[in-house]
Amino acid sequence: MNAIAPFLELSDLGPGTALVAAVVIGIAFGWALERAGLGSAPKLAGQFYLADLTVFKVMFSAIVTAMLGAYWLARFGVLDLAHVYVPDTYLLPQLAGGLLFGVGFVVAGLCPGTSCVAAATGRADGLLVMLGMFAGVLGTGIAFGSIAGFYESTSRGSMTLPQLLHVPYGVVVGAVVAMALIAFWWIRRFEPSFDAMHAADRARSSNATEPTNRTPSPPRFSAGEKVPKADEGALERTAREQIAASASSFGARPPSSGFATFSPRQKRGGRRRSIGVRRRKLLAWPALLLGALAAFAGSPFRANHATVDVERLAAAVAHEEDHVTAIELAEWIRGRKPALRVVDLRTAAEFETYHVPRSERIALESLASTPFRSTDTIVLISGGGTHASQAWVLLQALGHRQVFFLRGGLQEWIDDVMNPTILASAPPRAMAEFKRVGEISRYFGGVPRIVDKLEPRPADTNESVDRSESSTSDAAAAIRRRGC
Amino acid sequence: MSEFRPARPYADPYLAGIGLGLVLLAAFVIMGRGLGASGAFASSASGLAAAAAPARAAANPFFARYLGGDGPWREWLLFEIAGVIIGGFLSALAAGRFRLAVERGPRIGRGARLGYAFAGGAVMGIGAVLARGCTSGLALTGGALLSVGSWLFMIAAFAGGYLFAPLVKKAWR
Repeated sequence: MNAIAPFLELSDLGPGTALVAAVVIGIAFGWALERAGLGSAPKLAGQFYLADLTVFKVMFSAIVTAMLGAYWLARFGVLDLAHVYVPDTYLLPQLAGGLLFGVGFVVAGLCPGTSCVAAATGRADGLLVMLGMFAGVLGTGIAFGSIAGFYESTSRGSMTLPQLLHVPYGVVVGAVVAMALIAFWWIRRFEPSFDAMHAADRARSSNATEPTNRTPSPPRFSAGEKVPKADEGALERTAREQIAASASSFGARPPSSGFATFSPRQKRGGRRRSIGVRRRKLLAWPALLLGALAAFAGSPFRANHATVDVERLAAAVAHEEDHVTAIELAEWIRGRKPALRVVDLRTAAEFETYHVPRSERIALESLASTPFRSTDTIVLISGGGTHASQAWVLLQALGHRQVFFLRGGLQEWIDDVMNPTILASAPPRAMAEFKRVGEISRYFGGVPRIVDKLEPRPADTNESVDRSESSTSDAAAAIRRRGC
Repeated sequence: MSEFRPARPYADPYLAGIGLGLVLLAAFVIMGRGLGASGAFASSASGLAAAAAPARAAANPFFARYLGGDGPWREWLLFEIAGVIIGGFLSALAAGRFRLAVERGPRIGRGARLGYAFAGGAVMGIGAVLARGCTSGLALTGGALLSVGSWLFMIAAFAGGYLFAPLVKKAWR
């Protein structure tokens, strides 16, 4: 069965359709966020004081739902996962950006998406978060020159957890479902005690501030209405009840105790509609089942059994349309050729020692499950070139057309780009070409040399495409020492 | 006037989460991409920068990214965010939750809350640029697609929030 989705990639729908779809999907997105209560800043901020775990619950049930849906639709061939855009990984920028983002989140009480919902539902604080966000992005953009180096650092391409852990995709899906359900179960058990803790906190602080009559109350609105004084005795009673209830929940769970029975929010007047523990279990079981099955159901990526048009491949090889030279690749990288993916097939250790700038490491085994876009230009690199040319056939079989391997492997890159050498007695035309190559070489930190006598390179013969691995590694290590 | 109470209670968070997950799945199936929010801010900021100083914006690699193609004002995420605003408004209206107000913790003034909102938004803006996304585009979307960077961002964002929370406790508790 041919995949029919993503609709916009696999059929001829115009850009206008995409924008209409954007508005419709956005409306559903905004509706879902508002229904969950995520347009209310105190509710979101409550996540960071363990007072309201709505953010966590909504976020992880959404992730589990979409992940399982995408996996199974792909597994049954409806959705082609290779055409779904996976956010790129940049380790350090995302670590630092994430920390900053979290700080901003707890100060603002809203994240970018939910600030739009808050503003749309009349909350002025939501509007201010939107304005702040805009100012932050604009300011960072203006000062981008000073962070550009960091911004581009530690790139790992569109790396996924299955690729990182070298574990089948379905197993990771199953593990994420299991972790989410354990977290939900844990929340159900301990959330009442968090609530009791906060109620006790409130009761205590209301006693302390009694003379001023400023009773801390649950998050309030200030559209002019006065906050009524809470019945402090009642508050304390509720707190005591809750502490007692949660104490028992730490030990043996009382009979027929549902999460709903414990929910202090229900006691306080039903601010949130809970569907009760039985119905929640009805939701958890299918997730558990689909997750467990995914662990055994194999790769969601299509076409592990592909057919090859032998004549077309033979023609591509004969016309030398199957490879690029090191200089050509260097020009592509320097010219920032759009949608270029430089894939290094060597081992992690070899990759760490030295790799071509802007290249990403993908093991040969996980090449078939790597999502490439149809617009990507893929260049394959291996030590000597053999693995790369074999991978070229595999990717061609999977239907990728813009695939090339680096002729001569990394060794040719080292020889021609990093250490270009020419005889002083070379003819002027060769010298002019060498000048051009030298400029590219220096861009990559190479050292072009004009010598009187050429030293023989290791295994510099035409028939041995696969040069000895050790000589490539040594050469790569030498470049590493040079300080690239 | 009594303390404001939502006219209708919020949905069960797990059900709402499943609803949100189905919206995200629909985005994968229809568009081949997930949801987002900070990209809309980046795109409109680029549009503004290009209107104010075209040459400098084009020379800036961050703004230039959004200025190619159909231009910053035809960006998909901008239309999606317009939808979010419409959807949020309609949902609040239907549930009787639309209200002109400043939402804040019990111990903070209205002006201070608005200051916090702007400052927090600005810090999030810096973080979102560095990380190339936010809770929607990076955490939610990439989380469901098992992107390494997305899970790293998610863990870092929660860590940042929990570490900083005690310092701004007065704003919320």
